Amino acid sequence: MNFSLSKAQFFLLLFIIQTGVVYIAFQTPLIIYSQHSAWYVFFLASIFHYGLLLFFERYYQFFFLNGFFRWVYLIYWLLITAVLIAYMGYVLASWVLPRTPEWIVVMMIVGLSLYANLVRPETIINIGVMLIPIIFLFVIFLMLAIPDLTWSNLFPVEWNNTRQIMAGMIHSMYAFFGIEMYLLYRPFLKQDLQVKGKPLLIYQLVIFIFYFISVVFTQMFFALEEVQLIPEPIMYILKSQEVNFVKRLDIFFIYIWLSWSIVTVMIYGLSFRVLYLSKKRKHPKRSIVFFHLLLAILPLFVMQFQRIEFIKNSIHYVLIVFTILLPMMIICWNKWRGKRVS
Amino acid sequence: MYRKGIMLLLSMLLLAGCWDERLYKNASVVTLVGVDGYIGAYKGYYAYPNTAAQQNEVIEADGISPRDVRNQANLKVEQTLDLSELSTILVSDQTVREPLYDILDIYFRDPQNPISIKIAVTEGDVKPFIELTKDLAGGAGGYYERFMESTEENTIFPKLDLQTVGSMLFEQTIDIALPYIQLSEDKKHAVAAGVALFSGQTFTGTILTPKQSLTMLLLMNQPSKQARMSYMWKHDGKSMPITADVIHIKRQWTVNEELKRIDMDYLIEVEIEEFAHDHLYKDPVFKEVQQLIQDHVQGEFEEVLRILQGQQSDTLGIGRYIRAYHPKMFQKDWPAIYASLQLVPSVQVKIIRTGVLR
Amino acid sequence: MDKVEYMMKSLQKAFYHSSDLTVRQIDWHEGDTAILCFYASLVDAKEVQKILDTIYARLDTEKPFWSETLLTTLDNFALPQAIERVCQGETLVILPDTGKMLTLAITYEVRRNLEEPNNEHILRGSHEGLVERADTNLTLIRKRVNNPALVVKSFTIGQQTNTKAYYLYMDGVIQPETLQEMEKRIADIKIDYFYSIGQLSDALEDSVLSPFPQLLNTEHPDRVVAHLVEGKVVVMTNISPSALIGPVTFFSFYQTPDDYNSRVVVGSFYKIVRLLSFVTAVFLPAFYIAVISFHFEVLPLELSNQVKNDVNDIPYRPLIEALILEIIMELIRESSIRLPQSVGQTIGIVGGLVIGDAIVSAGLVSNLMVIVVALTAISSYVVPSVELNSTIRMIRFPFMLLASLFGFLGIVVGVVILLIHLISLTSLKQPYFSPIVPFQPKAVYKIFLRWPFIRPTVQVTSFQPPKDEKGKNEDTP
Repeated sequence: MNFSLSKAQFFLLLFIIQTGVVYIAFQTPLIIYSQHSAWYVFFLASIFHYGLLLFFERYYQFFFLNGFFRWVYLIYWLLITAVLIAYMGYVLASWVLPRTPEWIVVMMIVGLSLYANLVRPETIINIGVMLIPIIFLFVIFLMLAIPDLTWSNLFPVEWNNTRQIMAGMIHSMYAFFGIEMYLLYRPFLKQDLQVKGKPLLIYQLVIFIFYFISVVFTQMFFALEEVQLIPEPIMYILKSQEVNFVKRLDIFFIYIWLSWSIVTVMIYGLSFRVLYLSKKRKHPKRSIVFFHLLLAILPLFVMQFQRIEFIKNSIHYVLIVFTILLPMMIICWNKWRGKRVS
Repeated sequence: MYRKGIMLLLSMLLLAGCWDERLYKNASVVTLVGVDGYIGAYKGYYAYPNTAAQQNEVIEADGISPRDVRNQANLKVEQTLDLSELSTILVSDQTVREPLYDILDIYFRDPQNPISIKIAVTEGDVKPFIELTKDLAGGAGGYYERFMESTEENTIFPKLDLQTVGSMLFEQTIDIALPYIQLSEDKKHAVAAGVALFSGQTFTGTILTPKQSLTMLLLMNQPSKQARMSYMWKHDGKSMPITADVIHIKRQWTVNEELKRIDMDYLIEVEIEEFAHDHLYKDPVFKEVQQLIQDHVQGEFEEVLRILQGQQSDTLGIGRYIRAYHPKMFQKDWPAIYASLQLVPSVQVKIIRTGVLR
Repeated sequence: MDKVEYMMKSLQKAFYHSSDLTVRQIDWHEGDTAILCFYASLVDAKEVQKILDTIYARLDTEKPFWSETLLTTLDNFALPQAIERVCQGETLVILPDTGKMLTLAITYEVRRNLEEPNNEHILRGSHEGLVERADTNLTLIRKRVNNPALVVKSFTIGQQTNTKAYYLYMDGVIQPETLQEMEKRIADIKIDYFYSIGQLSDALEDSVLSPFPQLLNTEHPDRVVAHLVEGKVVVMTNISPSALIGPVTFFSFYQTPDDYNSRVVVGSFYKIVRLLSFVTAVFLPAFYIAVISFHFEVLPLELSNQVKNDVNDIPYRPLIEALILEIIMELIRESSIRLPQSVGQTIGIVGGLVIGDAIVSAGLVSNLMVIVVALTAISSYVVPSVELNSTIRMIRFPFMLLASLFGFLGIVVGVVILLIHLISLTSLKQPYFSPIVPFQPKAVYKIFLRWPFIRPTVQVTSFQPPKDEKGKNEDTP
C-alpha cells in the first residue's frame, strides 16, 4: 500500500472516522450519567482527547505492531465495524424502513464498502470531500432549534459530584473512538509536513465545536427525564423543526447520516487493508472479500433491541482499552526496546 | 457463467418487491384527530379529505387505547389511514383529567408521525368540533392549525407544538397551558376561549379567559406579534376606551431564599393604538394614561398569579429558574412549594409610541 | 519502350485497374519519356499542369535543384512508396531512365465552409469550426499559436485505410508522462478499417465501459488551443471535424469559451447554474418518485393536497408513469434529429399537444410528472458537451429504478456508487475528478468561480498530492 496523504486529507479522514456513526447517539448516555453537568464534563473530556492526540503525535513512530497485536487490532476493527453496521441498520429500521429485511440493508452497506475497497485507496481517502458541505448542512439546520432552547438546563454548575463527573467522562469516550487511526495513518503523511502545533489544534477545535454544539443543544432542548427515553436526540431535534419548504427534516438527515456512516465503514475497511497488507500477501483481493463477507454476516446477530442496548452500555470500556490503554502500552514498550516504524 | 448467475440472483432480489413502499395514491391522509373518552374506552375521530367531493370525511371508532381506536377505524375506511400528514390533535376536556402522556405516547413513538403539530383541548365532546370541518374545502387539520397559529400571534394561545408539550410534560419544573376551544353558537366555527391549566400531567379544571391568558403570556415574557389590552378611562365624567399594544417586556426576578419570596419586576413598553381623546403630548394626560394602564396591568398580574398558585400550575417556569440558579430551594415536592411561595409582581409601564397621531 | 510499357502495365495492375487511375506517357526533357500517374478524382488537374509547365521550363536550364519547388520534390522510385503517394492524392511523374520519380502534391480541396459547429453554439467568441480536413484544421490552430513549440506529429490510422492523422502538443508545457502515455496508446492502435472517430476514441480511452467520456470532443479551435496551452494532447484526423483532447477532468466538460469571454461575476454565476443542472438532470425524477412512493410526508401541507389530487387517479405506480414519459421524450429526441425541416414545426406542435395536454387529460400521467420530466430534459441539455449530455440522460434511469425500489436509500446508494466510480476513473492515467482528487482545498473553488486573471497551469497528473504547494490544480477553459 503506497499512498501519501496531505494534511487536509489526513485530518478529513480522521474527522470522518471519529464522528461517523456516533454523532447522533452519543449525547444520550453522556447526559444520563452526568445530568446537568454534561456540558462541562464533555469539555474536560475534549481536553483529555487533545492531550492524547499530542501524545500520539510525539510518539507515533513507536507504534509498531508485531504479529500478535496486528491480529488483535484486525479482529477488533472487524468487530467494531460489525457493531457499527448493526447499529446503522437498527436506526434505519426504527426510523425510516420498518419492513425491509435487515440483511438487505446490511448487504447494501457492505457491498458499497467492498466496491470502494477493491479500487485504489485514494478513492476512499477523497470521497470524504463530498461530505463536507453535508456536514455544514447538519450544523446549520441544528441552529434552527435555537428558539426552543431553555438555557436554564445548563445550570447549576456543580463541581462536588465526582462520581457523576467520572461516569460522564467515561461515557463521553463514546464520542472519540477511532483515535488509534491517527497512529495508523500518521506514517503515510508526507514527511516534511508539520502537524504538531497549529494544525492539530485546529483539528481539535473543529471536532470539539462540532460535538459541543450537539451536546449543548441536546441538553438545552430536552428535559432530563425525556433524554433517557430518546436514543437518537439529534434526529429528534431535527424532526421537531419545521421549515417552509419541507416538513420532516429528519427523513433527509437520516439519509445524510447514512451516507456519512457508509464512508466511515469504508475507512475501516481501508484501515483493515492497510494493516493486513503491510506485509506482502498472496491474494490481497480475496482477503478483502472475505473480510467483507464476515462483515455482512456478523451484524445480523446483534441487530435487536436488547443486544444493541447491551452493547451500548458496555462498549465504552472496550474503547478505553483499545484506543487508549493498548496504544500507550505498545508505544511505551517499543520505546523501551527502541523499535520504530520504518 | 458465475457472473450470469450472480446477476440473475441480484435481479431476482430486486423483483421481490419494495417492502417499505407507501404509495401516496393509496393512503387516506388524515389531518385532524380527535380523542374522547377515558382509559379503556376511548373514542377517536379522524378527518381526511375526500378528493372527489372536495369535502372532509369523518370516521368514528372505539377502542381501549388510541392505537386500538385507529385499528378499529381502519376497518371502516377504503384506504388505510395514514397519519403522517397530521396537523392537529383535539382532546376533550374530560379526557385530559387523566394523565395526558398516555394519549400522546403513540405520536412520539411512531417515527412517521410529525411532532411539530398543534394540540388543543375542547370544551365538552370533541365530536362537533370535528364535524364542523366536514364542509370545509381545505384540509380539516389545516383549518385548526391556522386558527391556532393566528391566535398565537394575538398572544392568546402560547406557542406550543406537540414536541414542546411532550418535553414539558416530562419536566416537573414547568407545567403546560394548552389552548382551549369552544364552539360558536351556530356550531359552524371554533372560538378561542383561553387556555386550560395543567398541573403535572392532568388538567386542573381551571380555564384562564383570553384576557387572563394574555396576562399570563406577558408574565412568561412571550408577547407575540400583537398583544392588545383595552381599558376604560374615566376622565371628567366621561368614559373613553384606551387600547395599548405591548411592544417589549423586560423582566427581572429576584429570589429571596429565606423568606421564600420572589420579587418579579416587569418593565412593559407599550404603544397606544386607540385613544380618541388624543393630546397625549400634554404631560398630565400622558402621565394619567400611563398610570392607568400600569394599575390595571398590576392588578391583572396579581390576579393571574393567584389563580396559578391556587391550581399549583407553574406555567411561568419559576421552577426552572429556581432549579437552575437556586438549587437549594428546589426540593422534590415542587408543586406544594410553589403554592406556598410569595410572588410579588411590580409592573412599570412606559408608553413609547402613540401611533401616527399624538 | 518496352520498359515503359511494362511499367505502365504493372502500375495499372498494382492499382487493380481502377477507372479513375490515369497512367499516361508524356514527353520529357531531351526526348525522354516519363510516366504520369495519378488518381483523377484526387488531383487538381489545372494547378498540376501549371506547375508542370514551370518545371518543363526549368528542365532546359540544367539547374541542380530543378525539381524542388513548394509543391514538388524528387525521390527514388519504389513501387510501394509510389502507391502510397498516389493514394494520398499526389501526382507522380516517373522517370524510368534515372529511376526517380517527381511528386507533385496538389490535391483537389474538397471541404465544407468553416461554419460554427451545430452542437457547440457560443454567444461571443470565434465562430469558426474545424472541418473534415486535417490540413485546414492545422491552419486554424497554427494561426492562433504562432510558436514553434507547437509540435505536430503525424501518424496513420487503420492498416487498410491509412487515414492521415495528427497529434499536437506544446513542448515545454506538457508533462512527459502525458506525452509518453499518449504516444504509447497511439502506437498500440490496432484498427484495420478506420471510418469513424468513435473507433479512435475507444482505442485511446482508459475505460471503455464507463459511461463517462474520458476524452473531450470539440469542434471549436479556441477550445483546442486553450487546452493545448495547458499541456494537453490533441488528436485530429482527416475524416472528422472533431478533435480529441486528453487528459480531461469531469469539470472541464462544463466549461465553454463563453465563460472566459464574459465578465467575472456573470461567468461565475452561469458556471454555478451549469453545475447545478447536473444535479437536477440526474436526480430530479428519482427524487420525485421517492417522495411520492415512500416519503410523502416531506411535502408541506398545501402542496401535499395538490399532489394527492393529482396522483390519486393514476392506475399504476410512479415509476411506470415516469418511464412512459421518459421514453416518449427519448423518442421525440431521436426523431427530431432526423426530422426533415419542412415538417419539423408541425410535429413539434403535435408532440407538445399530445404530451402536454392529452396525456394528462386521459389520466395516463399526472401533471407534476410532466413538469418534472420537462425540467429534467431542459437541464440535461445545459451541458456544453454532447457525450456528457447522453451520459447524463442515461444514468437517470438506474437512479429512477433505485428510487422506486428503496426510496431515498436507493438514491443514497446510487450516489455513493457513482461517486466511487467517478473518483477512481482516470483519463490518460490522470485523475478524472480533480480537483477533488487529490483534495486540495485551495483549488476547489475554482470549479465554481471564473477567476479574473487566468494563468493556465498544468493539470495534476497523479492521485498523490503534489510534492510542493505550487503544483496546484487549476481549471482550464
